[in-house]
Amino acid sequence: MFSNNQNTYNPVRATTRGVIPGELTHFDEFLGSRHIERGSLSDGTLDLHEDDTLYTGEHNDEAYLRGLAQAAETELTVVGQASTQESSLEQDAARRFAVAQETIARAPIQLDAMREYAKAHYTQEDVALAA
Amino acid sequence: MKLFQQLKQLITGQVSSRTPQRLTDRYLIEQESLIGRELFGPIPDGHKREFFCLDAKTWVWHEEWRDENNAPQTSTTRYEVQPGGVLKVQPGRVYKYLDGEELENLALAVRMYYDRSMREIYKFDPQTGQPIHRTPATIYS
Repeated sequence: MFSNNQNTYNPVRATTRGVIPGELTHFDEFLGSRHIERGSLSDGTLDLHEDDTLYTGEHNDEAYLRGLAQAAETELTVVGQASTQESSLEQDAARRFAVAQETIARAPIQLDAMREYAKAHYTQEDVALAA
Repeated sequence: MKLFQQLKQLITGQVSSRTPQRLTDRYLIEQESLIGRELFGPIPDGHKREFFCLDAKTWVWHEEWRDENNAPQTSTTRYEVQPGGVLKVQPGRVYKYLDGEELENLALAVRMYYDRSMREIYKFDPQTGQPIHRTPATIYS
Protein backbone atom coordinates (compact mmCIF):
# COMPACT_ATOMS: atom_id res chain seq x y z
CA MET A 1 0.00 0.00 0.00
CA PHE A 2 2.75 2.39 0.97
CA SER A 3 5.67 2.35 -1.36
CA ASN A 4 9.19 2.01 -0.08
CA ASN A 5 10.45 2.58 -3.55
CA GLN A 6 12.19 5.74 -2.55
CA ASN A 7 15.78 4.68 -2.33
CA THR A 8 16.86 6.88 -5.16
CA TYR A 9 15.52 10.31 -4.45
CA ASN A 10 16.15 12.84 -7.08
CA PRO A 11 14.41 15.99 -6.03
CA VAL A 12 13.39 18.56 -8.52
CA ARG A 13 12.17 21.91 -7.35
CA ALA A 14 9.13 22.75 -9.34
CA THR A 15 6.13 24.95 -9.18
CA THR A 16 2.89 24.07 -10.74
CA ARG A 17 -0.81 24.61 -10.63
CA GLY A 18 -3.61 22.26 -11.30
CA VAL A 19 -3.97 18.56 -11.38
CA ILE A 20 -1.62 16.18 -13.10
CA PRO A 21 -3.21 12.90 -14.03
CA GLY A 22 -1.07 9.89 -14.70
CA GLU A 23 -0.55 6.27 -13.95
CA LEU A 24 -1.25 5.44 -10.34
CA THR A 25 1.87 3.34 -10.04
CA HIS A 26 3.98 6.39 -10.59
CA PHE A 27 2.43 8.44 -7.87
CA ASP A 28 4.12 6.74 -4.98
CA GLU A 29 7.29 8.31 -6.28
CA PHE A 30 5.82 11.75 -6.04
CA LEU A 31 5.96 12.12 -2.32
CA GLY A 32 7.07 15.63 -1.78
CA SER A 33 7.97 17.69 1.24
CA ARG A 34 4.30 18.47 1.72
CA HIS A 35 3.50 14.79 2.01
CA ILE A 36 0.86 14.98 -0.63
CA GLU A 37 -2.19 13.27 0.71
CA ARG A 38 -2.48 9.84 -0.79
CA GLY A 39 -6.23 10.33 -0.78
CA SER A 40 -5.76 12.59 -3.73
CA LEU A 41 -4.04 9.76 -5.56
CA SER A 42 -6.81 7.23 -5.36
CA ASP A 43 -8.59 8.63 -8.36
CA GLY A 44 -5.41 8.73 -10.39
CA THR A 45 -4.69 12.41 -10.04
CA LEU A 46 -2.08 14.39 -8.21
CA ASP A 47 -3.08 17.80 -6.96
CA LEU A 48 0.06 19.89 -6.81
CA HIS A 49 0.47 23.16 -5.03
CA GLU A 50 2.98 25.86 -5.63
CA ASP A 51 6.50 25.13 -4.47
CA ASP A 52 6.00 21.44 -4.04
CA THR A 53 9.22 19.55 -4.23
CA LEU A 54 8.80 16.48 -6.33
CA TYR A 55 10.84 13.36 -5.84
CA THR A 56 10.74 11.61 -9.10
CA GLY A 57 12.60 8.45 -8.19
CA GLU A 58 13.57 6.50 -11.25
CA HIS A 59 11.84 9.08 -13.42
CA ASN A 60 14.27 11.77 -12.50
CA ASP A 61 14.10 14.15 -15.32
CA GLU A 62 12.35 17.29 -16.15
CA ALA A 63 11.10 15.74 -19.35
CA TYR A 64 9.03 13.27 -17.39
CA LEU A 65 7.45 15.98 -15.29
CA ARG A 66 6.93 18.19 -18.27
CA GLY A 67 5.39 15.32 -20.14
CA LEU A 68 2.85 14.81 -17.40
CA ALA A 69 2.15 18.50 -17.20
CA GLN A 70 1.80 18.80 -20.92
CA ALA A 71 -0.55 15.87 -21.06
CA ALA A 72 -2.64 17.55 -18.43
CA GLU A 73 -2.42 20.90 -20.15
CA THR A 74 -1.35 22.36 -16.86
CA GLU A 75 1.41 24.75 -16.02
CA LEU A 76 4.67 23.50 -14.59
CA THR A 77 7.87 25.40 -14.03
CA VAL A 78 10.93 23.47 -13.02
CA VAL A 79 13.15 25.79 -11.04
CA GLY A 80 16.04 23.40 -10.69
CA GLN A 81 17.53 20.86 -8.37
CA ALA A 82 16.83 21.31 -4.69
CA SER A 83 19.90 22.08 -2.64
CA THR A 84 21.75 19.13 -1.20
CA GLN A 85 20.99 20.08 2.38
CA GLU A 86 17.39 20.86 1.61
CA SER A 87 16.89 17.67 -0.30
CA SER A 88 18.57 15.64 2.44
CA LEU A 89 16.22 17.01 5.09
CA GLU A 90 13.23 16.52 2.89
CA GLN A 91 14.27 13.03 1.96
CA ASP A 92 14.76 12.17 5.60
CA ALA A 93 11.32 13.51 6.50
CA ALA A 94 9.74 11.65 3.61
CA ARG A 95 11.43 8.42 4.61
CA ARG A 96 10.32 8.74 8.24
CA PHE A 97 6.80 9.45 7.08
CA ALA A 98 6.76 6.40 4.82
CA VAL A 99 8.22 4.13 7.51
CA ALA A 100 5.70 5.33 10.10
CA GLN A 101 2.80 4.75 7.73
CA GLU A 102 4.10 1.33 6.87
CA THR A 103 4.47 0.37 10.53
CA ILE A 104 0.96 1.46 11.44
CA ALA A 105 -0.56 -0.24 8.41
CA ARG A 106 1.31 -3.52 8.52
CA ALA A 107 1.15 -4.39 12.21
CA PRO A 108 -2.64 -4.88 12.43
CA ILE A 109 -2.61 -7.17 9.42
CA GLN A 110 0.04 -9.32 11.04
CA LEU A 111 -1.69 -9.26 14.41
CA ASP A 112 -4.97 -10.21 12.81
CA ALA A 113 -3.31 -13.22 11.20
CA MET A 114 -1.61 -14.07 14.48
CA ARG A 115 -4.94 -14.07 16.28
CA GLU A 116 -6.38 -16.50 13.78
CA TYR A 117 -3.39 -18.74 14.28
CA ALA A 118 -3.69 -18.47 18.05
CA LYS A 119 -7.38 -19.32 18.00
CA ALA A 120 -6.61 -22.46 16.04
CA HIS A 121 -3.67 -23.61 18.13
CA TYR A 122 -3.64 -22.04 21.59
CA THR A 123 -5.79 -21.94 24.68
CA GLN A 124 -6.39 -19.02 27.02
CA GLU A 125 -3.81 -20.49 29.32
CA ASP A 126 -1.18 -20.29 26.59
CA VAL A 127 -1.59 -16.61 25.90
CA ALA A 128 -2.65 -15.17 29.26
CA LEU A 129 -0.50 -12.36 30.54
CA ALA A 130 -0.08 -11.83 34.24
CA ALA A 131 -2.44 -8.96 35.06
CA MET B 1 4.64 -34.14 34.67
CA LYS B 2 3.12 -33.83 31.22
CA LEU B 3 4.85 -37.01 30.09
CA PHE B 4 3.49 -38.79 33.13
CA GLN B 5 -0.03 -37.63 32.32
CA GLN B 6 0.32 -38.74 28.73
CA LEU B 7 1.60 -42.16 29.81
CA LYS B 8 -1.22 -42.47 32.28
CA GLN B 9 -3.73 -41.59 29.58
CA LEU B 10 -2.14 -44.09 27.23
CA ILE B 11 -2.19 -46.86 29.79
CA THR B 12 -5.54 -46.27 31.42
CA GLY B 13 -7.38 -44.75 28.49
CA GLN B 14 -8.63 -42.01 30.79
CA VAL B 15 -8.67 -38.49 29.41
CA SER B 16 -7.89 -35.52 31.62
CA SER B 17 -10.97 -33.72 32.83
CA ARG B 18 -9.34 -30.37 32.14
CA THR B 19 -11.29 -28.48 29.50
CA PRO B 20 -9.17 -25.93 27.65
CA GLN B 21 -10.74 -22.57 27.00
CA ARG B 22 -10.91 -21.80 23.33
CA LEU B 23 -9.71 -18.37 22.39
CA THR B 24 -11.79 -15.52 21.12
CA ASP B 25 -10.78 -12.27 19.45
CA ARG B 26 -12.13 -10.42 22.44
CA TYR B 27 -9.92 -12.30 24.86
CA LEU B 28 -6.83 -11.77 22.69
CA ILE B 29 -7.56 -8.07 22.36
CA GLU B 30 -7.92 -7.82 26.13
CA GLN B 31 -4.53 -9.42 26.55
CA GLU B 32 -2.93 -7.16 23.95
CA SER B 33 -4.48 -4.14 25.57
CA LEU B 34 -2.75 -4.99 28.83
CA ILE B 35 0.40 -4.19 26.90
CA GLY B 36 -1.10 -1.31 24.93
CA ARG B 37 -2.20 0.64 27.98
CA GLU B 38 1.37 0.77 29.26
CA LEU B 39 2.88 2.33 26.17
CA PHE B 40 1.96 5.94 26.78
CA GLY B 41 3.42 6.47 30.21
CA PRO B 42 1.85 6.40 33.65
CA ILE B 43 -1.93 6.30 33.84
CA PRO B 44 -3.26 9.04 36.15
CA ASP B 45 -5.16 7.92 39.23
CA GLY B 46 -8.79 7.30 38.44
CA HIS B 47 -8.12 6.93 34.72
CA LYS B 48 -8.74 3.82 32.71
CA ARG B 49 -6.86 3.49 29.45
CA GLU B 50 -7.04 0.99 26.62
CA PHE B 51 -4.98 0.97 23.47
CA PHE B 52 -5.39 -1.92 21.11
CA CYS B 53 -5.55 -3.17 17.57
CA LEU B 54 -9.24 -3.71 16.83
CA ASP B 55 -8.92 -5.44 13.47
CA ALA B 56 -6.70 -5.52 10.40
CA LYS B 57 -7.25 -1.82 9.73
CA THR B 58 -8.06 -0.11 13.01
CA TRP B 59 -6.28 1.03 16.15
CA VAL B 60 -8.27 2.27 19.15
CA TRP B 61 -7.29 4.49 22.05
CA HIS B 62 -9.92 4.72 24.78
CA GLU B 63 -9.75 6.65 28.05
CA GLU B 64 -12.22 6.93 30.92
CA TRP B 65 -12.00 9.22 33.92
CA ARG B 66 -14.07 11.42 36.20
CA ASP B 67 -13.97 15.19 35.98
CA GLU B 68 -13.86 17.69 38.86
CA ASN B 69 -17.60 17.17 39.41
CA ASN B 70 -17.09 13.43 39.58
CA ALA B 71 -18.97 13.02 36.33
CA PRO B 72 -17.77 10.14 34.11
CA GLN B 73 -15.91 11.21 30.99
CA THR B 74 -14.74 9.15 28.04
CA SER B 75 -12.60 9.75 25.01
CA THR B 76 -12.27 7.33 22.12
CA THR B 77 -9.97 7.83 19.17
CA ARG B 78 -9.84 5.50 16.21
CA TYR B 79 -6.92 5.38 13.84
CA GLU B 80 -8.06 3.89 10.57
CA VAL B 81 -5.58 2.64 8.00
CA GLN B 82 -6.85 3.82 4.66
CA PRO B 83 -5.38 4.05 1.17
CA GLY B 84 -4.96 7.77 1.77
CA GLY B 85 -3.02 7.36 5.02
CA VAL B 86 -3.84 6.94 8.70
CA LEU B 87 -7.11 8.70 9.46
CA LYS B 88 -7.65 9.96 13.00
CA VAL B 89 -11.32 9.74 13.91
CA GLN B 90 -12.72 11.40 17.03
CA PRO B 91 -16.43 11.94 17.64
CA GLY B 92 -17.40 15.54 17.18
CA ARG B 93 -14.11 16.57 15.66
CA VAL B 94 -12.84 17.01 12.16
CA TYR B 95 -11.27 13.83 10.87
CA LYS B 96 -7.70 14.23 9.72
CA TYR B 97 -4.86 12.24 8.28
CA LEU B 98 -1.95 11.96 10.64
CA ASP B 99 1.46 13.27 9.82
CA GLY B 100 4.48 14.77 11.52
CA GLU B 101 5.24 14.06 15.14
CA GLU B 102 1.82 12.62 15.88
CA LEU B 103 2.21 10.04 13.14
CA GLU B 104 5.69 9.09 14.30
CA ASN B 105 4.60 8.80 17.94
CA LEU B 106 1.75 6.50 16.98
CA ALA B 107 4.11 4.43 14.85
CA LEU B 108 6.46 4.06 17.79
CA ALA B 109 3.62 2.90 20.04
CA VAL B 110 2.41 0.49 17.37
CA ARG B 111 5.90 -0.93 16.98
CA MET B 112 6.21 -1.52 20.71
CA TYR B 113 2.72 -2.98 20.90
CA TYR B 114 3.42 -5.36 18.06
CA ASP B 115 6.83 -6.46 19.31
CA ARG B 116 5.65 -7.06 22.86
CA SER B 117 2.42 -8.79 21.83
CA MET B 118 4.27 -11.13 19.53
CA ARG B 119 6.81 -12.03 22.17
CA GLU B 120 4.77 -12.01 25.37
CA ILE B 121 1.40 -13.24 24.15
CA TYR B 122 1.98 -15.23 20.99
CA LYS B 123 5.55 -16.34 21.75
CA PHE B 124 6.84 -15.45 18.30
CA ASP B 125 9.95 -13.48 17.54
CA PRO B 126 8.65 -10.29 15.88
CA GLN B 127 11.80 -9.85 13.84
CA THR B 128 12.26 -13.34 12.47
CA GLY B 129 8.67 -14.57 12.64
CA GLN B 130 9.95 -17.76 14.23
CA PRO B 131 8.30 -19.28 17.30
CA ILE B 132 10.00 -18.77 20.60
CA HIS B 133 10.44 -21.99 22.55
CA ARG B 134 7.13 -22.76 24.15
CA THR B 135 4.97 -25.67 25.15
CA PRO B 136 1.33 -25.07 24.34
CA ALA B 137 -1.05 -26.36 26.93
CA THR B 138 -3.14 -27.89 24.20
CA ILE B 139 -2.77 -28.24 20.48
CA TYR B 140 -5.99 -28.70 18.57
CA SER B 141 -5.80 -30.92 15.58
